[in-house]
Amino acid sequence: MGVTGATRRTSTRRQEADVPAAATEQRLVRVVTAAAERARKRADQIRAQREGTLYYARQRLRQAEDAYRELSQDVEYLTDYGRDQREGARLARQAARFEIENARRAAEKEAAPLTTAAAKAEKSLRRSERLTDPAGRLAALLEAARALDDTLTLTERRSVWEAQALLTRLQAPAAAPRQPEAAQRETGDEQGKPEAAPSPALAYLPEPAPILFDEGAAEIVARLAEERFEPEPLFRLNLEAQRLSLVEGFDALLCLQAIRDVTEYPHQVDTARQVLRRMRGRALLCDEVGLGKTIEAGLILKELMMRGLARRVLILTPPALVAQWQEEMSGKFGIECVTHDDPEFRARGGEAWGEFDRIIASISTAKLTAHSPHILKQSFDVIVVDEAHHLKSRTSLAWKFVNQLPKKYVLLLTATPVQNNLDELYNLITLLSPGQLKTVRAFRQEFVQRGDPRMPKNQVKLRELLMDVMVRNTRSQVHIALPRRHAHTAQVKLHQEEGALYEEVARLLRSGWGDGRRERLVAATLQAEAGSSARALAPTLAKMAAGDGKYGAALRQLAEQARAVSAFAKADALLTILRRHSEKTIVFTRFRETQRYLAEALDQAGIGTALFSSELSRAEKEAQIALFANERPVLLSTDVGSEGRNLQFCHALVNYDLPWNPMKIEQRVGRIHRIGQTEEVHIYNLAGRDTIEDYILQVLDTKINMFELVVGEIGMILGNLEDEREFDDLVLDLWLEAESTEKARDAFNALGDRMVAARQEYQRTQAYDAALFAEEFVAEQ
Amino acid sequence: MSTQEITEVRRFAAECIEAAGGVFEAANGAVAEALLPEALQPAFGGHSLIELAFDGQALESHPEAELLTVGTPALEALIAYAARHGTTTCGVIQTDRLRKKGFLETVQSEITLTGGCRLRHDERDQEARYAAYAVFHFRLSLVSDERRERVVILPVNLWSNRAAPELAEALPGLAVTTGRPWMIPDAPRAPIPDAFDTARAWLEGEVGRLQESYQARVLRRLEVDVARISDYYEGIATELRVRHEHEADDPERRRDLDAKIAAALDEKERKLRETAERYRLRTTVRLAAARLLAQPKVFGRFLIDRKQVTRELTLAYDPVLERLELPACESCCQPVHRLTVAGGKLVCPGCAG
Repeated sequence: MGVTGATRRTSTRRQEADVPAAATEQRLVRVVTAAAERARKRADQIRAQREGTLYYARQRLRQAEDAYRELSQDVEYLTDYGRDQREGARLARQAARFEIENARRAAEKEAAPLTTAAAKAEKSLRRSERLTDPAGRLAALLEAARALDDTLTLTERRSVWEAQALLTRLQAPAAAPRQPEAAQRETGDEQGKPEAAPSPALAYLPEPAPILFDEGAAEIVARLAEERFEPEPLFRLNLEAQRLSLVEGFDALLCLQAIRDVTEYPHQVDTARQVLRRMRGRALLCDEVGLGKTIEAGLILKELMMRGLARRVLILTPPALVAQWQEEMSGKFGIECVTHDDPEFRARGGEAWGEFDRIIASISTAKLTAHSPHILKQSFDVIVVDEAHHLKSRTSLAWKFVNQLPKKYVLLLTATPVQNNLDELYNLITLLSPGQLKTVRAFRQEFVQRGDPRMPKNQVKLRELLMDVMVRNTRSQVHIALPRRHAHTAQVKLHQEEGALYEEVARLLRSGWGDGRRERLVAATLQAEAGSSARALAPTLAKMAAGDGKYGAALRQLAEQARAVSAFAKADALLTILRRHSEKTIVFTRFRETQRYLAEALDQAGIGTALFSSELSRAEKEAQIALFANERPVLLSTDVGSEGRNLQFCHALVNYDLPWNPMKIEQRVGRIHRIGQTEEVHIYNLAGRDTIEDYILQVLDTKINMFELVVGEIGMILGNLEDEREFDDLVLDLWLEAESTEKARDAFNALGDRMVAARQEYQRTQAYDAALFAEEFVAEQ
Repeated sequence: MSTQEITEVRRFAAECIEAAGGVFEAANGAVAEALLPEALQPAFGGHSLIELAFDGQALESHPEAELLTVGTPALEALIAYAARHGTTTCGVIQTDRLRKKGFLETVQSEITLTGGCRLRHDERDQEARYAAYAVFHFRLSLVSDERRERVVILPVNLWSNRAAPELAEALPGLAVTTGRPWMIPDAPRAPIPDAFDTARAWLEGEVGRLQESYQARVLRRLEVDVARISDYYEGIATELRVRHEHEADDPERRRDLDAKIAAALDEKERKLRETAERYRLRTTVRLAAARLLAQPKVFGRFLIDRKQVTRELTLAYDPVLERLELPACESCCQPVHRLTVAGGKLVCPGCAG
């Protein structure tokens, strides 16, 4: 190109470069004008409010003045009493004047800086109008904006940041540290010499990675060269396949069709879309309890994975929730994760953190010095932190650990982002987006009431800042209102042979059984089977007796004893319930043997049953559900997942035996107590007297009314228990450590008291958060 | 899914299953039955006879059916099958205009001969031949903290070995028959690997332009992030410096504060780089399919005289796009509008010096 052409092009580009500067200037003028007007209005408002509150003080002043004037007319004739009254009126007048003056001063102290800031800003604005140099104009406007800094909204602040960046570019010396070709072409001339200094952000803007051409092209090229053609319909089909699988923006979520057994609610889909599209994958999800934060996180995770945006995922949870997350991610989203507890993972030591792509770990383990250096070396695409309120303290090891983790997308999940003071919220937001709420000192000055760290101020602005990174759906807004549920717990006196067998099993397990992982698993299984039925226990005992040298004889004898049990008190109680309750009922048991026995027993009693268990194929499961819906009054089910199936036509559920983990109990109840349920739900719990299930029920039902809590609240209460053991481990410990029934009862009573305290703590926090956030952060539809 | 999406997926599934040798029978709008060929059975749990639902709601009345909507594993399997097959084919762009009247005038209006060159052409000296295009279908993925994909179709003219994006625009409106050309002889063709290299080079330029516009766009977002993060850490450092000034008498405390200031600034750099890294654009290009398209063109023989030298030049006229294909400079290989004879070669004025 000739010289003339190049000059013309450079000049055109200069004009083009001026366009954003002019736009930035105009934007900044609008920002300053609006903020100044707002500041003046606010100042007027403060003064007017004070005037309103001074109404009574003025009345008192008038009265005191009137009284003093009246009593001062003939002072020499006043009695002592009159003199006292006059003095009283004088003092009252003085106090009222003092009060009015003080209030005025206070109002002025608050309003005057706003008026001054507005005046200062307007002065800078006028000055900018007189300037001809773009950089000078921008500097004057920025000065105006800085004067009003405390009143700027987030959007306005963004405009200020942009203007600041532009000014730096205009003012900085011409030498650029590094400038990509694209930007050079936008701002520079043909030789690549920049006309203005680059934005500071340019120093960080990464160069695009080299284009990667797929190796598979060679084969297609060779086929074409050799004229090895395929029929036209197949070619068209190929093109159609390409078109169907194209990935575009986040408006339509791909993952919704790829997940099974999840009934996702509109607010969950809206949340996922908002986090992906607007928050660019970094968000604080703090829906109220029971609205499905895990589902929202799962949707986001699945979507990112399906789009090829996330491969390496680290999910950090409290220890008690590790297994649950693994199960939910796998069962609901088809995302297979390894946990730090898995033998395969442990076997590889510290290297495992780099070898597995999707890891679930307890945060208390991950932050340990044995693991954290290995984890911090990794680069994860997504970090999910469940129960993120554990990161509320900026000085805690957990917060520092998560802050240091390199991460592209990050999801913090908690129903209670603020428990004690607003600093906790600040700390969570700062993990997601450092600087979103400025420094902690600035945050406190601007957003926290002096003297009360729980109370916010400048709420409109705070809300605007939070809306960039936070979603909080509330029960009332997403219209999830379920009918009540009622619990009926039957403490069944076991028949003598059943009772004796149960006692014997407990005695064996308490007599130095061992507390290795395997031993504990066996102990939990045996005791749970004993609590379910002798039918469930007998085969396990027999199998163990064959292989166990130390306890072989005792186990053999117990197996004999179990086989000999012929009467089952809980089965009798179940029959009574079913006869009294004529509607459709689901009976849950943990064990297949108990299920088989109950099927026989109910059949003999003339009560038809459908059977649902993991042994069935998908078609068989559907057939059994249909049988239950259309013909049989009772569905005997093990704990195998039937989520996603419509069982809302059933309103009663019997826990023939009880999972020791309250979350599992919650899952059972959730099969019928879910969206679409229109009737009140009745839950019947059966437990043999003085069994571990009996004590668990006393804690969960009698002490904290678990069955009448809102879905998910039990998880929050367990979280407040401040015990790193899972609940089922905790109760097993209490049970095995107790030497007698009385001691077991006492231990469980103490646990009940802790649960009550944990529930109170949860309720206090919940009320605080509800008042603080109200319904301002619901996902956009 | 919208009704249109359901219809599209159902049509695709039907064509895919039938193309693979299976049978597809629609029961109603949202459900169909299919007898799968062996090749597709593994993707459907080894079953040969299956029911397909094209809408989540249809599953309620057909719980046994396999859900087939965008994003489901079943549809992914069909897409993968379809993408593995039908990668190459051929066709013919039909046209019946096999002679060019006023060829010489067309050439004279498009090409300027300099340096005293004269152009000669005999109207009888033209013939129709099948020229060919290699049409490459590229799948382009642009990934940063989001993913955007598109299919880029690029024909490469095998006569000139030049990218012909204008044909890609015209293709949907052209009559293309399947099969191989016949009746008239083929024009010379560039080897397919060379044509692929041409397409690749063109695509690199195209991607470069996309990347430039992405970088410019992302810079604005990054500026906001950089300002926010810098403000935050500089704010911390400033607060620490103020404390530092107040601790004049306590050297140990000052050292401690110095370390904290340095740590805050280090962390600022780390966070800035981490944030910026999220925006790094990664571009992958996959050749999804390719088609050889033949098209009759009119080739005319022209003679260029300069002084004692005469050079022969064959020019092609495209009756479909109705335009002359420009000749290439024999020195710089670029298509040219101005031509001369220098040193016995046909070159552009720039190369002629």
